[in-house]
Amino acid sequence: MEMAIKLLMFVAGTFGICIVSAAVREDDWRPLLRRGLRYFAIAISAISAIVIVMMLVQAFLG
Amino acid sequence: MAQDKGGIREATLRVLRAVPPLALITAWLLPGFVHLLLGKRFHAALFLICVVVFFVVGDIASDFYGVSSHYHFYAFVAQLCAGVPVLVHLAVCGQPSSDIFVGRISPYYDAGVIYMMVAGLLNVAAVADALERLYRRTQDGDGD
Repeated sequence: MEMAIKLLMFVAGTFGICIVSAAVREDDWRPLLRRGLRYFAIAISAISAIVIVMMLVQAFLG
Repeated sequence: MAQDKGGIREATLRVLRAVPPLALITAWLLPGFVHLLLGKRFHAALFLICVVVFFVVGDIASDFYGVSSHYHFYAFVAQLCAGVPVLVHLAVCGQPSSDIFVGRISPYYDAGVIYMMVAGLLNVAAVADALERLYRRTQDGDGD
């Protein structure tokens, strides 16, 4: 339960950071949301890739 | 009445453009307020909601003990950037003393501290964006 709440906080926090980052670049709300979602997808993909690589390295090292 | 509001808004914008430190302090203290003056309502609401909600959620997660210049100074500096929310927290809750942490630290304490740090750092981005929009309009000549 604790981990689930922390994971939810992490995802929500990442989304907030992405939306604010997009708001700095865009003037209208529609392209802003689109850019924010793109940033969010990139961030989640990158973090997932890092976690998977770390788990693989850990598995290989024993 | 609407003209009065427009006049007040324009006068406030003129003052903020004439005195950059005042614009900086206003944008820092009140997240989204300069965007609201500039007519960017969606941006104003977004910055206000993000900064305030992040700070309040972080504060609740850390049991209102997450703002401390003694236990985590660098996090405190980042939290200070959040403006009014952190000042209200310091005025109402103050800073935690060492006996508060004995045997009763929240499992979400670290997440709460990080959330409040993120709120402060997002406000830095909001301040930079507000000042950039405030002075870009003056230079382009499409503002007033």
